[in-house]
Amino acid sequence: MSAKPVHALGTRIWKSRFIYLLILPTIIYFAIFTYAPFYGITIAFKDYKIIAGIMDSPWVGFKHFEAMFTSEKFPTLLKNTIIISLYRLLFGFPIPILFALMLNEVRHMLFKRFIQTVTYFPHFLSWVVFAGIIYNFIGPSGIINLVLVNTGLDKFNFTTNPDVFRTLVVITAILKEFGWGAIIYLAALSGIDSQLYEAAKIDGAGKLRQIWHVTLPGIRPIIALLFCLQLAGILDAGFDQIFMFLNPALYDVGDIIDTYVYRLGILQSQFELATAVGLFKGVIGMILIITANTIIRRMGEKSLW
Amino acid sequence: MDQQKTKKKQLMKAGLLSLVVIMLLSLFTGCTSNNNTSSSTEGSTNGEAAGDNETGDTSGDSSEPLKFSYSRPTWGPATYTKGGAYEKELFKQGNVDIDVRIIPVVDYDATIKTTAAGGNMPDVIWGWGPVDAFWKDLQDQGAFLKINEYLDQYPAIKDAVPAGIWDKMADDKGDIYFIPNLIYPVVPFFINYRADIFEELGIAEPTSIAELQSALEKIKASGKDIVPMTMGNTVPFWAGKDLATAFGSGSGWAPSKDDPNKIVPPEMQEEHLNYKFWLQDMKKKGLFDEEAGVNPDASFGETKFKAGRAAVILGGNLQSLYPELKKSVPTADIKTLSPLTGLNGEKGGTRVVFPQDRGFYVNVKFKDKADQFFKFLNWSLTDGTELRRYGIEGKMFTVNPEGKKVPIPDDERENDYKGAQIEPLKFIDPMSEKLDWEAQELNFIGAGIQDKFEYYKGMFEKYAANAYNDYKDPTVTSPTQAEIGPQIWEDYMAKVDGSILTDMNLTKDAYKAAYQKYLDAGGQKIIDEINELQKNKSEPNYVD
Repeated sequence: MSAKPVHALGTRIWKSRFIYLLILPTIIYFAIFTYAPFYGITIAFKDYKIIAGIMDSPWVGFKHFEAMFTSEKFPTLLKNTIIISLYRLLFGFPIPILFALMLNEVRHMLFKRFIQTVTYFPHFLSWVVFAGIIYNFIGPSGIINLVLVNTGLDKFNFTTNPDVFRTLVVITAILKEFGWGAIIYLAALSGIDSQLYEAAKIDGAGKLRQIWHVTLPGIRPIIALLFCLQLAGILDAGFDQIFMFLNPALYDVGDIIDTYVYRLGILQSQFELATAVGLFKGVIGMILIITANTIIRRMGEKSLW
Repeated sequence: MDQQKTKKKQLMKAGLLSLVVIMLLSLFTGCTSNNNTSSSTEGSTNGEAAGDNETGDTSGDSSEPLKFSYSRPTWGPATYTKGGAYEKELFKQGNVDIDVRIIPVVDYDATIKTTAAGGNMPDVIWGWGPVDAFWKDLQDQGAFLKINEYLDQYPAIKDAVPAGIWDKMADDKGDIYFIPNLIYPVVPFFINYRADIFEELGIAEPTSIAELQSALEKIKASGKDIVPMTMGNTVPFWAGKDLATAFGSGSGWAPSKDDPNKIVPPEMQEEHLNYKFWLQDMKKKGLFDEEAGVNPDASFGETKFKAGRAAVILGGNLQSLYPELKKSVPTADIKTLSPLTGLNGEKGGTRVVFPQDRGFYVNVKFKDKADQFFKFLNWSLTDGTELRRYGIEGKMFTVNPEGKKVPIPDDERENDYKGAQIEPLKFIDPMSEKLDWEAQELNFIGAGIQDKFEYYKGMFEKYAANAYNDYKDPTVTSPTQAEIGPQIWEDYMAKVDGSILTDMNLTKDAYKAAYQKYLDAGGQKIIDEINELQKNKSEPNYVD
């Protein structure tokens, strides 16, 4: 009895064998580069000896987790990471949606393409380059301070001022990524049935009403999906960016888990600690994504699974 | 019709199958090829004795060139491209084929440690050697080749390094694994100034910290719109290491005031804190570059000075500063302050350094060809000396009427012979070449500033006359430091120590309070262990 479904499955697979063969490289890719490295997670529980290898390195239990959680800085790091991530979510998440909505209303194609190109471009710059450009604006001898001084005002400290660091991080992240982030919403917008707009127009809906009652509900599943994915990365506050702008004077407000782990785990070769923190972040991320996905599903939106 | 349909179906299947095969092949190729072109015989690590190899090439002979991979940092521009003319000449004369991987020095430690941790080490690899816990640990784990017998076999290599340094490189069994990159221990970071600006403003050459501060105030008040004092291409406090001597600080461990038989780190020395907070005060007053500790590009100070936008620079190489400054300000003149006198009469000088700045290991997996490698190194210090030291005549140096080799300045060389192409192919230079005044003079001649040479030499001697040393033996490491040192430093000290120049509200008392927490968390244990392990606490002498 039980052999039948297996047989049926085998037949189905055989029938679509070429399609399965096509997907095989992707499965192999993920198996090799995503799942196989999971083996390395054991480093978090070992005294890693490079020459002996992961397998033969001695086990040390939760020693590295203990070091992380008992670290004097851990509460600050966690707080900074979550605050910066929430700021990004709060201010950074709606911007691409608003931008996509506005761009969607532009009818002059040449202008639309030009704006798209200009806003996409920063995404292709690395944070090293982008932060260098920003520094030329906000540095002590940067353009903004030059303007301030030439207009008789005092210089403003943007670069080592804890009061503006998080604002700076959020603004520069939005500047760099909002154009790119809008792509997926533009794609979703193009999928909305134009008849819905015509129907709304007939019912007397103006532009704003159309956006509210047609456009936004049309892209709501995508918004929910992306929100769910971003929530999972709440402990990833953007290492590249923070690293480029961070200065010891800003550690109280800007030092995040990743920058701390970089300094301690990579520069000081404490790979075990870096792995332990990575595992901790992964577990939190998994909990968050499952929670968010469940909530979204219960709300009747399209969920990840 | 049906036949056509079947044919079409078969064609589609064949197409899909070919696509899958191509994708699988690409995946396989992608997974199997890597950039480790190491020629070493991988595998066993408990191999035969040195010299037991089949080819035994000698550099310059007609046997197969020795192929090996080589990772090293570069201090100059990281613009090296393989296959340059100098490289070809070196490969030909040295009978080698080196696969070089360069990493800018600022990124080197992080990159190479991660590479090593992945178990993907090149045949010859630069690192800090036994003075660094990470490399010492790898050495103890058996990652590198023991080189004692090669040193006995190839005397030029052994003689290139002073015996005292070899002793420091040896472990407790007397085994040596590491070839140090030597530096002359006296490396003054001169306090250079724009003599033309000082003259124009009627400022006499400062001889003390107080006079320097007064001069900087005058420059600021002059309305010349230039930075009164900036810094050379390194971290701010190290750029001013010789200025620190005028505060009585050697920027290193020194005997404790309470117990001369005990040494303490700089953070516990009042003189060192006085220096650091004086520099903070200068910045607060607008007398020290506002970008110090802020600009991520460490060369900002030199760029300003070369462009004529700064009056004083801590550190910086005269041979590079002067010709560049002359291009932007033809009337400019640079002079060097004599070692300054401190606020309490302290006599300034120079902070002497341990005569090693990194070096390289030979991968134990390369042991089968290690003899050939040491032959090559030996050749570079004997028959290959001219090529190693001076390069190629007409391209990298000229011969003057007295028969001396005068280096051609870098910016006048063809691309293939510029420093960026040469540095990646460097291995070891003997200590005897580290302070060669004749060679220095020829460098000045090459840079077109021959008239500055005697002045420079005089200043060097003035700074060197009062040497400040780090009393800590760099090869002594504390077990607690290896265990928790980096973490407690990060937790309690990284912020305060890194923000003296960026947090103008940070006070010396707050700094001391943070340090006390560090001591309580295990820092004191580290200091005690160092004192316990380092039996000889007398002032080191790396110069004689």
